[in-house]
Amino acid sequence: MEERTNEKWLDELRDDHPNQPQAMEDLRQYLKRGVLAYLRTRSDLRYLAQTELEQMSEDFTQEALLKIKDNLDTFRGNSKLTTWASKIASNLTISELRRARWRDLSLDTITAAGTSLQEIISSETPKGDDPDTAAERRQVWQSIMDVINNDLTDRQRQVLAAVQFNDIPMPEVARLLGTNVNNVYKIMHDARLKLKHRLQALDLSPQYILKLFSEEG
Amino acid sequence: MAKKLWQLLLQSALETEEYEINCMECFNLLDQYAEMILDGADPNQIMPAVRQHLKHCPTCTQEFETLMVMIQEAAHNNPLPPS
Repeated sequence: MEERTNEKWLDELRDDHPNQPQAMEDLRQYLKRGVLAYLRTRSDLRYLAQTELEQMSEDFTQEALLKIKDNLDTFRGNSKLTTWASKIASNLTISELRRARWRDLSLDTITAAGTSLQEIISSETPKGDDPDTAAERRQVWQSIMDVINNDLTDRQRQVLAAVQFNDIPMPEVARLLGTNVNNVYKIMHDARLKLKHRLQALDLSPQYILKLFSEEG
Repeated sequence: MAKKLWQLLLQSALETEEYEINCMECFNLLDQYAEMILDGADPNQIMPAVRQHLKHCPTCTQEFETLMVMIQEAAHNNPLPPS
C-alpha cells in the first residue's frame, strides 16, 4: 500500500480526486485485514469457515467505508487517519455482532436484574474469623446493603445489575430503555458515586475496606 | 480465587471519580489513546480520563481492545503511513 500522510489521505479520498478509487481500495484492504484479524479472535465465530469470515469482514469493511467517507470532515488529525478509520470499522463490526447476539433481549430481563441484585446482596453475609475486623466488616456491609436497597433508584439498580452482574452490553440496555449509552453510563456512575460517598462517610480508607473483604475470596 | 460480583462492585465504587468522561467523549479519544499504547506508553500516565472510563465501561473496553487488534495487525503487516 502506498504510504500516505493524513493530508494526502484526506485529499485523495475526496470524490473529485483522480486517485480516489485507488485510495479507497487501499483503505479498504487495510481495514479488511484488521477486521478479519479481529473476527478470528471471536470465540463465538469459531464455527464459521474461513470463507465466511472473509465475507463477513468484507461486508463490515464496506459498511465502514461508507461511514468513514461520510465523516471525513470530522477527522481532527490527532492520530493517523488509518487508526481513526480503524476505530470506525471496529465500532461498526462489534456493534453489528452485538446486535445480532442480543436481538432477543427483553426489557423484562433488565427489570429482573434490579430485583436479583437486591436478592444477591441480601443473601450474602460478610465472613471472617478476625473479631477485630468483624465489626468494621459488618458496618461496611450494612452501608452497602443500605445504599443498594434504599438509596439507589430502581433504574440505577436495574442498570448496575444488568451491566455489571449480568454482562449485558450497555448499548443493548440503552436500546431497551429507549436512551443512549451516555445516559446508561451516567446512571451507573451516579450509582457508584452514591455507594462511594456512603463508604467515605465511614472514615475508612478504600484500601482498608477492600482488604476487609479480600480474605473472603 | 475469583472475586465475588459484589466485591467487584465494591471495588468499582471505591475507584469511582467524581467526574468521569462519557462513552462518546472516550470514543473520540480512543484512536489517539490506542496509538500511544501501541507506541509503548504507560496507560496509567497518558490520558487518565480515558483510562478511568475504560476501567468502568466494558463496552468501551471492548471497542479499545478491538481497535488494538486491528492496528496491531496493520503494524505487523504494513508499514503505517506517516501522519
